[in-house]
Formats: sequence, structure tokens, C-alpha cells
Amino acid sequence: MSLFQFASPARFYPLAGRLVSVFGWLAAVLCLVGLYIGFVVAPTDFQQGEAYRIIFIHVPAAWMAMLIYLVMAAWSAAALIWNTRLSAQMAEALAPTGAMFAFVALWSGAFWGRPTWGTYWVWDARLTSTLILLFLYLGFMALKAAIDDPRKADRAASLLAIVGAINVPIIYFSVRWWNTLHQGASVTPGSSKMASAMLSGMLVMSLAAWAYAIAVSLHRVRSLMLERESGSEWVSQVLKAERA
Amino acid sequence: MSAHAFYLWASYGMFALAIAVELFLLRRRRALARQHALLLSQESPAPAARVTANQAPSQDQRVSSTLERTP
Repeated sequence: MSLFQFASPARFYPLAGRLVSVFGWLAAVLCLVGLYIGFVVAPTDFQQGEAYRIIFIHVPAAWMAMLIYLVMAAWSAAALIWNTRLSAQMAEALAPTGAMFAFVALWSGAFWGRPTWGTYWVWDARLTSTLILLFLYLGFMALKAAIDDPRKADRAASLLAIVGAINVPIIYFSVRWWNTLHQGASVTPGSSKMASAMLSGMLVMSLAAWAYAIAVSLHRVRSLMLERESGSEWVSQVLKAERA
Repeated sequence: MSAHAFYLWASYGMFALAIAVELFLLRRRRALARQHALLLSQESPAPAARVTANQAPSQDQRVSSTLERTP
């Protein structure tokens, strides 16, 4: 059995349906555990007080916004190279969730910045490049919606996604390359400057965000398949089976 | 908590709202897509399944498929 057989929407649709509930429940449980650690177990920060607890949504949202964009660019590249329907649909399904996480990262960052930096917004490299990431997501979705021919829309949006991927390393390394108001990375592979309770709460919330993004994207791609493939035989069979 | 409560809850509140809006839109899109697909399947009981592999259909295939469904 080859993994490539799941590149066919007819095969992927039922598999995605099963995975949606698994990852949806996983996200809910991990979110509850993460919030419990973040609000009950983790101590108050001696410098920032309670405001630091924004970290439990800000960092996972920022990480997911960057990761989802890279995954979206990879699916877009696959769509251009192999011309597979599923690849373009997966890229399209990821974009709204990535945009949501980018928006939450910017919003929570602004509300964390006000009590700690004294301002909601500064045009420093980290914040500006994250705002560009949000605009890239919005541009991707707008481009898809603006072109009537789905194949042309897929190609144009795929190109935008691939070109825009250059922004992700810029976001990540911006705090090293430029002198920014935003702090440097507190967590790097193999080392952390955070207390273990704070770190574990943040990591559990990040896992919850992963599971949520997978569940929501798979749910959305199923709708996209119904939209694009309606009228085909396999969709009729699926609808009959769901009604039975 | 009181000094920073506004900033903390404004962040978590927007996070919850963003997720609620996304889930609502997701359910609505799914319902509309299902409804649309159901209508099409009722209109054409035996549609021509021209594209069964994982390759995207060409523009010609889309046009001919649409024409076939047109009464």
C-alpha cells in the first residue's frame, strides 16, 4: 500500500474525516492541560507579574503562524511540481488557520507589549515581518478568490506562497540580525532560559495548537473537496453513505 | 492580577473569539458545500466520473463535464 494513493481526494476524504475527530479531541484535552499548567501550576513572574501568562497563547500562535506557512508553501510546491489536486487543496485549507494564528500572535503581542514595553506597536523587524506574514496569508486567500479558473488560481497562489516563504526565516532570525525591541529567543533547540513549569505549559499549548491546526485544516479540506468535486461519482457515493 | 488583568484577558478573549469564529465559519462552509454537492448529485444521478486519478482535470474536461450536466 502506497502513501501516494491518498493523493486522490476520493481516498483522502474518508481518512481525513477519521483524523479530524482524533486531532480535535487531542487539541481540546491538550488545551485544557496547558491552560491548567499556565494558570495554576506556573508561578507569577517576578518582573512582569501576571502579564507574562500571555506567553501561553502568544508563542504557540507565533510558532504555528510560521510553521503553517512553511507547510502551505511545501504543499504549493507539490501542487506545482506534480499537479495534484490534493496538494493545492491542502494549501488552500491551511491558509485561514495560519492567518488566524498570525493575527492572534500580533494581537496578543500588542497586549503584552503595552504593559512591558509601554507601547502596543513599534515598527521593529520582528513585528513588521510578522505583519507581512499576515498580509501574505490574506494575499494568498484573496488571489485564490479573485481568479475564476481553479487551476489558474492554484498556480498563482502557489507561486505567491513559495515566494513568500522567504519571510519565515526573516521573522525567525530578525531578533538576531537587527537590534529589535522584541526580545531574543527564550527557547532554542537543546536549551531554555525559562522555568520548567512555564516552559511545559507553553509546550503543551503549542502541541494543542498543532493538533487544532491539523483538525481544522483537514475539516476544511473536506469541504473544499465537496465544493470542487461536486458532481463526481465518488462525492455522490460519499453523500449517499453519509445520509444512510 | 488587577494591574495587568485587562491585557491578559484581552489577549485570551481575542484568542477564544478567533477560534470560535473560525469554527463557526468552518461548520457553515461544510454545510453549504454538502448542500451544493447534494443538489448536484440529485440533478445528475449518473455523473461521468472522468477524473479518477489524482491529476487535476483540465479546463476542457471541466467544460465538457459542465455541458454534460446541463439539461
